[in-house]
Amino acid sequence: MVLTTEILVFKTNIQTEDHLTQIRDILSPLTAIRRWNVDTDDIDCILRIEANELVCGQIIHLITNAGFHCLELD
Amino acid sequence: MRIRDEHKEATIREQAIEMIVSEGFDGFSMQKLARAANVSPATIYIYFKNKEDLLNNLYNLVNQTFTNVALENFNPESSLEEGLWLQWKNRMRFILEFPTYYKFMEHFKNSPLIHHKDIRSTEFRDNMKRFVMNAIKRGEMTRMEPEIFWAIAYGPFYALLKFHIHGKSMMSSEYKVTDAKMKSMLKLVVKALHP
Repeated sequence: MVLTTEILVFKTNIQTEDHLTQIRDILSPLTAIRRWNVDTDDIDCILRIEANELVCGQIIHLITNAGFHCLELD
Repeated sequence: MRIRDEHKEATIREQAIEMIVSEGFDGFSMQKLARAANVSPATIYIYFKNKEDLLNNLYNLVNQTFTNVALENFNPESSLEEGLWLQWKNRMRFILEFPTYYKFMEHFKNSPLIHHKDIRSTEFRDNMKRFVMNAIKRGEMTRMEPEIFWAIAYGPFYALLKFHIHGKSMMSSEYKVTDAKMKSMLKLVVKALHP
């Protein structure tokens, strides 16, 4: 079976090391996610996710529940 | 969901190189690049994780292009004079055909932004090293510090090419490099390297 990678890009307010730790706790249980990073240098604090399946809604739900902004960019 | 588009990726890379060459690294950002390339910031993040990833990617592209041109028809077993001549000709071609890439390399050389562990350039370095070691073994040149070798073997070439690119020298307002001029300089360089 060939897994295709989806790349999701979100505008967030994830900025500090502390925020990153929280995000790590949220995302690490999601096995569909292959790789993720936050560009904290960017004005939009871009969260970039490579996932094996579409998990966009789930990610927005989990991250906003933790008190962050998270808006999918397209 | 986003689909990778190689054409778009190449456009973003070319635009980024142009921006860095004309404005330097300091003002460079993913957002500015998005505006200049007329794509959304999200599009850029499809292809590159962050600024550092993009810069490394650009460096690899430029470096690979340089390596391909510099090593075209190059044989590390060739004589010092023949090999050096081909290096001068190939490097001149790279500078004249890819002027923005050349300027980008010059910018990047001294930048702490690049993580050197991510950078591949061993193919080029191995070839150059073998070429020099062979020349030493054959007694065509004396053993010396690599920096001194570079200064003697390539310094004159880059200095002469600068006159050509700017189109003028201290003696002439219309300076042009020719093969004959380069050959006569090559003779002097080979003589200087000879033990």
